[in-house]
Order: sequence, then C-alpha cells, then structure tokens
Amino acid sequence: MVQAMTFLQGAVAAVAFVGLTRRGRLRLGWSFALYLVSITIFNTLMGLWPGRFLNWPTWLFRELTYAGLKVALAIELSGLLFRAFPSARQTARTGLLAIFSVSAAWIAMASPGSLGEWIRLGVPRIKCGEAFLLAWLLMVVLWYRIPLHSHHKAILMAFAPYLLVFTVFLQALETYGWTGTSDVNYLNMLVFLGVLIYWLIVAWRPEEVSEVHPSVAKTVQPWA
Amino acid sequence: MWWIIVLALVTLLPVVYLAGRRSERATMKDWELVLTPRGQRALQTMHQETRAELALVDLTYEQAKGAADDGDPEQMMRLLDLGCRLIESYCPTMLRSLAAMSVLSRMVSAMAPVRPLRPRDFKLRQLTNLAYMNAFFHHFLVTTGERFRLRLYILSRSFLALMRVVTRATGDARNMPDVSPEWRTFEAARKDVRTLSEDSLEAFRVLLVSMEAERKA
Repeated sequence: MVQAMTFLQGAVAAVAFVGLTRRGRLRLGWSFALYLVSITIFNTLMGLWPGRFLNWPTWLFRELTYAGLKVALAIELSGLLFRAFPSARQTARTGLLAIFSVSAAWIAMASPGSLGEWIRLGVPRIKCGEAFLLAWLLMVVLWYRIPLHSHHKAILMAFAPYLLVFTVFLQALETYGWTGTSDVNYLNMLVFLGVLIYWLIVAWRPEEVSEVHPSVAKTVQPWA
Repeated sequence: MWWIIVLALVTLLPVVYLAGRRSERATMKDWELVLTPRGQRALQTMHQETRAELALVDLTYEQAKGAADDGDPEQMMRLLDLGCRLIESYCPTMLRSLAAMSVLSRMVSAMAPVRPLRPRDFKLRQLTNLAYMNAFFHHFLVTTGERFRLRLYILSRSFLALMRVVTRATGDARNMPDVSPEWRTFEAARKDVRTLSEDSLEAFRVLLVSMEAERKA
C-alpha cells in the first residue's frame, strides 16, 4: 500500500511538472519545478525498488533535499512576489531571515546525531520552520495586499497546512513510537497526494484573462 | 514540541483561511484604481457624492429648525430622525473608504507628508479631543506612512464619535418633547461632518499623489 501510494505521488508530481512546462509556468518558480522533479525521482525509486530505496536513510535524505528546495522556494518567491514593492520585500526578507535563524537554532538545540534522532527530532523542527517560512510570505502578501498569481497562491495555500499535518505526523511518531503510527502515516500520504493533485489541476488550468489594464498588471507583476 | 504545533495551527490556519477567501481579481482592481486615471475619477466622484449627501443633511436640519420655529414638533422630529439616519448611513460609507485607504497605503513605499487634524477646525468636544490626540501622536511616529494611517484611524474614530453624538442628541429630542432640541449640537455635528469629509478626501488625494509618484519612480 505504502509502495503504491509513493509511486502514485511521484506520477502525479510528474504530470504536474509537465503541466507547468506546457503552460509556460516554470519561470514562475524554478525551485518549485525542481521540487516536483525531486518528488518524481525519489518516489519513483522508492515505489519501484522498495528493497533498495524504501528505507529511513533514503527517506531522511529525501526530506533534507525537500527542505533545501523549500527554503530556496521561499527566497525565490520573496524576490518574485515583491519585486515591485521594495517595502514589502524588505519586510518579507527580514522575516524569512528571522524564521530561518530561529529554526536553525531550534534544530541545533535538539543536537540530532544519529539517524533516529534526526527523524524524531530534527525533521519535525525543519518542517515546522518550513511551514512558518511559507506562511510568513502569505502574511506579507495579505498585509501589503499583493495580488498573487494562481500558481503562487496554490503553492503557498497548500504548503503551509500540509507541512503542519506532516509535523503532527512526525510528532506522533516521536510520541507514540515507530510502530503505532501506520494509520497516521497513511493519512499523511493521502493528504500529500491530495496536495499534489491540487497542484496538478492548477498547473494544467489555462491562464485567466486579466481584467485590468496591461500597464497595471505589468507594474504589479513585472515577472508575469 | 506539541505546543509549537498548537501555536502554528492557531497562527497559520487563520492566515491560510484569509488568503483563501481573498479575491485576487478584486485585489488587482484595487491596484488599477490607484495606478491609473481611474483613481482621479473616483476622487472626483467621491467629492461630488460627498457634497450632495452633506447638502441633503444640511437641508434636512435646516428644515427641522424651521419646523421647530413654526411650532410643528412632529414634523421637526421626523426631519431630525431623517437627518440622523442620513448621517448614520453616510458615516459607514466613509469608514469603509478610510479602511480601504489604510490598506492601500501599505502599497506605497514613500507616502507624501500629511499634517495632523487641526483641533480648532472641530466644534464637537469629542472630535476636538481626537484631533489633539492626532497632533500629539503624530510627532511620535517616524514614517509618513505611519502618520498617514494614524490620521485615517483618527478620522474613523471621529466619524464613529460623531455618529454617537447625533444619535444621542436625536434620541434626547425624541424622549423629551417638551425640551428644545440641542440645536447647537446638531449645528456642530453638521459642520464637523463636513470637516471630516474634507479631511478624508484630502487623505485620498495624498494617497493618489503618492501612488502616482511611486509609479513614475
């Protein structure tokens, strides 16, 4: 079941990536495109060769890769979304730096040494930090009333709640032990599959016709 | 760790909910308003509408005074009620405009300077006090954007205070038919609502000027 679900996630991520390519939306977030590619690669490997790849070291490596890509995504989005708004960009970057520093210190405080400690202590804290990083961008967007592209909105709207669900799953892992969490694991995988399907739909959706004057759109979203 | 998760849920989920509810199309329209000549047209329309509504308020209160002079208390009360309702419907419109301006002002990185409200421009004591408060806190704020938003906040509070004063004065006139209504209060409220409206329009103009300057930069 886990194997099939893992493979399915990889396949959905691949189709979402193709959608982004076909609709010319890769430039709206290179880190996100890379993230989809990495999901495809890792999940295909884990789904097709579970004996070799469906293990904790690979899982940890995968999660750390995702974490790096999400940090890159937050930085990339802070540059894209607020390109025309220096004040908002400054606020966003200051907040990102603060959240990143606090998260790094918090992870260091856990001083994970072994693989088990990284999975039980390190990764939940990384996920929590990621959730705050992306939610912070959403807060700045709301505060400064920055219009979002549907692609960016889909990324931010799905990531923040999913990362929280994932953190709860990992925390349950730590609290209830490694064996009593299979139901939570299925739920976590199911939620992530839902997130990927949502991104797939948004990636393939045609571009909406803008109702505002082109000069306004160009001023507010110069990258579009 | 669980407490961090609870904290994250409490803080992040409302943000996601608000972002989900927000219409990107409406947000883009707001930008269009301040970045194109549509803003100037909106300012002119607001000017005209404000003038027309305030003229109606003036007319209603003058007729109420006339009815009182003619010894027709029922007609006077009807007109006072009408005047009160006009102000009650006018103030929320201005409050919504001020709230929208406050949000739009965050889009500007360099706001044109604004002066605080002048206490001597107001007749009602409550509004004079608010204007003093504005003048006092104005000097504690560093950026023109913060000063601008303080001014909008004080204007909003002033509209609310004015609405309360008029409602109370109208209620008193209804409950005590033997006592002459507080014409001085009504007169002061009429003048103050005009001053507040002019200050609100001035704020909108400053916002548009700042947006225009930013666009050119």
